[in-house]
Amino acid sequence: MFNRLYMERGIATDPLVRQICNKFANLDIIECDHYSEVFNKKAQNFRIQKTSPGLILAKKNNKFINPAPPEYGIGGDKNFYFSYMLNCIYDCRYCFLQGMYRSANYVLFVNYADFLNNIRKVCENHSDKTCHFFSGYDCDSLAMEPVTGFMQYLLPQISGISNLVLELRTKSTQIRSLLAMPPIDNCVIAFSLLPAQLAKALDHKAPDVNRRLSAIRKLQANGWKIGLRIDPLIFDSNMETIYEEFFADIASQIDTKNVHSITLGTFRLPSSFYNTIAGYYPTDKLFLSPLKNANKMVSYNEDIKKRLLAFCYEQIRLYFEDNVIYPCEIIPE
Amino acid sequence: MLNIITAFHVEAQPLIEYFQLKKLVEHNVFETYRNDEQSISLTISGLGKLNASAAVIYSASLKPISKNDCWINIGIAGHPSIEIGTAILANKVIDESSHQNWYPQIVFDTDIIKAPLTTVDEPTANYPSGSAVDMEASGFLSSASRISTTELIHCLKIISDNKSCSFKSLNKQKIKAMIQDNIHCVTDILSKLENLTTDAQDSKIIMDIYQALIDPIHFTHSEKNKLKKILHKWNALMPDAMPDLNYCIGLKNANKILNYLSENLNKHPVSFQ
Repeated sequence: MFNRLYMERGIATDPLVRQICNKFANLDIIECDHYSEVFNKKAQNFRIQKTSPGLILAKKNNKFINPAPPEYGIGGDKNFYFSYMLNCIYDCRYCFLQGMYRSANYVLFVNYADFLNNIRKVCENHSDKTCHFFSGYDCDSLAMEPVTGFMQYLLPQISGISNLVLELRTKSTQIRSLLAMPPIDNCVIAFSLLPAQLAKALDHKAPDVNRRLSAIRKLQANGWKIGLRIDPLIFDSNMETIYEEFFADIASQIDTKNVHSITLGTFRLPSSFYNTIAGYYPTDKLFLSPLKNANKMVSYNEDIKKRLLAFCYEQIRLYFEDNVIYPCEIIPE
Repeated sequence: MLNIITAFHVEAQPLIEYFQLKKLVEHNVFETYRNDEQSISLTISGLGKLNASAAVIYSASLKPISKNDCWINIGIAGHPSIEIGTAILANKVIDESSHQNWYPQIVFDTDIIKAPLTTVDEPTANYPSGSAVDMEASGFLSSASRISTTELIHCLKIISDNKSCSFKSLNKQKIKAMIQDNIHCVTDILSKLENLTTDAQDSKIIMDIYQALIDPIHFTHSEKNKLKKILHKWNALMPDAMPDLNYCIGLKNANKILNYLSENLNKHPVSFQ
């Protein structure tokens, strides 16, 4: 999984650090003072590093909980995100992490209790509001669970917080630990999905869509709340057929009456991230699509965006109730 | 290009012989060698981190800089316990006097032992615990990391002395033999780095069209770059229908050609199937 392991000197005796180091006992452990010494160095190439990322074990000291971007939301009064890990084991071509970070190494913040305490504090500070927390903004929430055990630690502890909803965003089929525990009522396992043809071209190293749907079925059968994240919607000249079949396929494979929420949004990236990523893959079809750059965001041309959103929205409505659909963009009339 | 920096001629000699490098007689600030294919360069820095740092900059200044250039500092080092003659690849370099650290990213699999490496200002028999010790690596890295990326910059050291065998017993023959015995480590790293930097090469068809357009028609430097990008995209989307060369040349103007190509490219449907 990794060929090198970095560790902040100050956490050498932390039990989780010891556990992870023992698990990868064949690796040399490289000590550093602070993870940023390795992770934030300028002279790094994300693409080359992605061929074989290392794991950096670190302690987070501040900014445990951040306000979520305004378009994030599935009905909560207050939206937050947190990142106990930076970077993802998958290599999705549209992923903004490639543009945001110089390093493809994974950073795992091992002070889980500090995340939990800060989540509790935020919920207490907004006790009259529903607080939604999104995990999976800077990493996949479940893909590294066998190594991190973060969700195994967190989920039982948050189940009693009445004004909290936690979303775990994932493409992973690492659901064993979830199936081994009773479902947590205020937790939504949200799967990112793309039509199989598009996922094959773009979701590198991620489980194929059928395996994700199979994981959803198992979780539903065990009583877990499920979210579907149809984001990004990707333009293809044959998009109507592709997405029509895609939504029909989803509906045929999972319990559509038992879906907590569905979000959808078209492919978009901050232009600085886009420039970096398109520089890595100048001839990838994703970046040859009809895109425009406006207000420091790169997205599809307006007519394509409207067509894609409107079509997919209508398709989703064929199978799901309106009150579970949360578009990240305004659906054209 | 692979750029090798060694401190001494005796460390360089086995590499010069193995890679059949020839001295660049017109460049003599630092003794520099190249192979006929111009794919390997070797510069001899002299002792110490300042020399190593300067030698990197000098070597880089002799040719156009490429982000795909690989840099390796090869030489001898001490270590408290590793057996003499063993090659190590530095996974952390510590400058003893400034306390600055570098973390070369070894993203390839190799059997070479990985170890931290401390760069000191004076020869020493006090080996830092668990670390190799040399006199050039931090200077080498401080300059090389301005030129290339940390995945392509490495320090390969052959352990020449340890607690049971002092560096005072070293001589030129021993050093030469140690490097010679570890040439396979150099070639191993070289091939791994080559794999990492293999970018999509400009295909012949793209370069033929590119040349056929820029020969008769004036393109500015940025227009040339734009043309190459468009041709790459065209080739990705429509590999079986490359642009009509005669029509393009008939437009007689770089801007018109670029617009024509862009418009046609944008009209082409994108399909992932």
